[in-house]
Amino acid sequence: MLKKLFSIIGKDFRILLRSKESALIVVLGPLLLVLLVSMAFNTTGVHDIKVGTFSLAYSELSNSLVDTLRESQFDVKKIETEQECIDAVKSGDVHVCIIMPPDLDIKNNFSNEIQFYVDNSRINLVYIIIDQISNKIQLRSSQISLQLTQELVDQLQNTRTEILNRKSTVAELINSNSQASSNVNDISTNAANIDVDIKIKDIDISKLKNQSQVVKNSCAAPCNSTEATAVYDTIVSLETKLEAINTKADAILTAKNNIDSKIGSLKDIVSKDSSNIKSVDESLNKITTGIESVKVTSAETIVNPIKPVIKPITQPTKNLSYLFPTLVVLVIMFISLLLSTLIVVREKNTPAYFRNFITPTREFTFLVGTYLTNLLTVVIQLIIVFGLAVYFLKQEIIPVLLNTSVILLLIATTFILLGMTIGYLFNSEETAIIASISIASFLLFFSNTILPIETIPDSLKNLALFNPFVIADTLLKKMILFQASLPEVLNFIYMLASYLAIFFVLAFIAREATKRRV
Amino acid sequence: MAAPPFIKFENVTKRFGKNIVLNDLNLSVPYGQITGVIGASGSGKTTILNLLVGFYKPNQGKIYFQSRDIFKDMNNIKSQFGFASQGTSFYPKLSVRENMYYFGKLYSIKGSEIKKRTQELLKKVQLYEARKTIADKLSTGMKRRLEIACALINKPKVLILDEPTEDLDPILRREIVAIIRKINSEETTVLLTSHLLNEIEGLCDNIAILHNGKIDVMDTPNNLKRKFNKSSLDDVFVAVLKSNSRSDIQQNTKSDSSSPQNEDKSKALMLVKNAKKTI
Repeated sequence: MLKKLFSIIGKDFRILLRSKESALIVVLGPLLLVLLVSMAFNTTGVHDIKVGTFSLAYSELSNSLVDTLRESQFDVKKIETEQECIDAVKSGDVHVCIIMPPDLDIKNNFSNEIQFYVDNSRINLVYIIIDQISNKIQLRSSQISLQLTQELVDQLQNTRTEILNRKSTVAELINSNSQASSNVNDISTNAANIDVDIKIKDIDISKLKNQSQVVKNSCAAPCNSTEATAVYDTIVSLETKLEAINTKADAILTAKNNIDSKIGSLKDIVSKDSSNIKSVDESLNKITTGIESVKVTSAETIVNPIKPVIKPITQPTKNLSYLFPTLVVLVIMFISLLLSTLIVVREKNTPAYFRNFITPTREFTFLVGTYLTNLLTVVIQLIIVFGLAVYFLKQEIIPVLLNTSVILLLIATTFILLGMTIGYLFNSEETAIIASISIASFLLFFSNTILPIETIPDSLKNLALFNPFVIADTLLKKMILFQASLPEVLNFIYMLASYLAIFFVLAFIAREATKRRV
Repeated sequence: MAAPPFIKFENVTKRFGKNIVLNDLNLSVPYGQITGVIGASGSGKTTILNLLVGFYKPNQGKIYFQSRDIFKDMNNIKSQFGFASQGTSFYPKLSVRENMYYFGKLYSIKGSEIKKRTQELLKKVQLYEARKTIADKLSTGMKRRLEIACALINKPKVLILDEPTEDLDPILRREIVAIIRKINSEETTVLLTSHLLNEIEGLCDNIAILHNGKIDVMDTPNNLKRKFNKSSLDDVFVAVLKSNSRSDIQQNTKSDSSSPQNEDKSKALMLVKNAKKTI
């Protein structure tokens, strides 16, 4: 049987290669598809997004937003009117229309609302566009916030520095105030100790003057009346001077009392100043403590206290890296379905079909031979695809190559058998190919490739989860992106193996049922 | 006791939908001879051949090869048949040699043996020089010869030829007839269909006339002419087609083609042929 199989496979390959259009469509077609898809998706973002903007009056800020979008490789057009801008979205001239308020500026109590108009019918693109443009505008908005916050933070830091610088002055004030208070107290004490209570009136000058008059009058001989007169005059003079002193003493007392009163008042002032300075010192301490207690001083952290960083659970960075498993399943599905259908139908329609039939070769051998031909073709193409992936995408496939090969074999076998069943059921090449493409498209539409499965109704979603394309896609993603081991994906393997068994039985039944129908 | 027929159709009926193509058909093909089935277009000649190789299954009746029901041992029996169809039944995209090799492999013949046989057969059918040519590029006559070569790759005991000279010019016809004779001379039983009665007359040892889904009559060409008292096979054929019923034909004939005497005669003819070949 093996020799017959080799012979069948060899014959199939010769025919495939000699049929130029088959070779081109079947062999080069998918590779071309891979190449184009690789080129198209080998990026990290979207390109050539046309943005229309409108504002009644472009401010510096609105222009800076427009510039930001332009720098981000968006094709930005300023449109004359709001309606024209919206119409441009409808006609597809622009992907999104952004309406900015006139004189957009950062002011208090000013609503800086920017409106987006998008074409929701392009559901697969609209979220990407909104996301991309919102990101850019958000980025600019954040830059402005950051700038303003930075100014506030800087001002706060300057205040703190100034306070800290003036703290010594306040300390000096407290110190000098304390000294002044002490001096005032000393002055007060000293002043209190000054005795200005001069009792000149207690000196009985009149008595002395009377006694001196008596002396003068009685001292006619032997005593010199001139001298007595002089004593008397001196006493009179003394009396005059004492009276003057008395007057001054009274004035001194009055002044002392006045000074005492002033010192008392000064003491109060110094005491009050001391209290005020201490209060200022305490306030300054509180302010510096308050400023120092602000732990977050980075403006960026204040503007964006929570940074949502989306960490990929896998290493790849390009769209194609994430798409790679889907792309591989897509290639396998289309090659397997189309090639197997084509080979089966051509084999049925070849003049040699009759001669094959009349040879002593079991149906099973032909079935396996066709399957192996398809499998080998798919394997050759996958080797090229994986080779390119390793070289260009730096996909880490080698560690999971063995397990992935088993899965790929399973996926390819499932779709080949489905394609063979279709091939056996249809007689015309055209109808069979249409049937294959229809089935492949159906499987593709009800998968995550075009729209997320989650967007379709529950009943259909549950069905779609059993879609062999979805199973194969999930399985390969787990294997390649998450490097899952075979036991981890056993459920999916069982499901795919069930499909394989079903399709094998169907292919065999279809061949048996139609082998004489040619 | 007479030897059993090499191939025997016994009360075989074949319907395609409501259309009864063969109706309770009986046919015996003797060993080592060239038996021709003639009939009008669409009378079911090809159906008989397709039934014999198992491509169709009869709705009723049995087909025996060497007294064995062919559907009970199909693979073994298939390996003893060679079939050259009316058109072509090889891969047009493969070369002459590749076609021979591929079909040889399907008969489980060793590679070296296939090469040897291919060389012999291609020389025999005068295609050796064109062995590397892609089959699609062969001329009509060459394609017909390749068809015969493919049918012979397994050294069949029975060579079945469906309209082997159809659409060929007189020169090519002669070539094919010569090849058939050569093959038959190597003890290969040949069963062929044709509506070119002149050729068949000179080629076949026995002729069976198919009419209304039945073999109305089978005998040597000369016997048929004698039985129907006609000078040519064309006239015999016309007489058969004009007959309304089998009984009419039997009334017009003097003996039954499938009688034991005929089978003895076939063997005798074969012996004569072999003697001729030896000489």
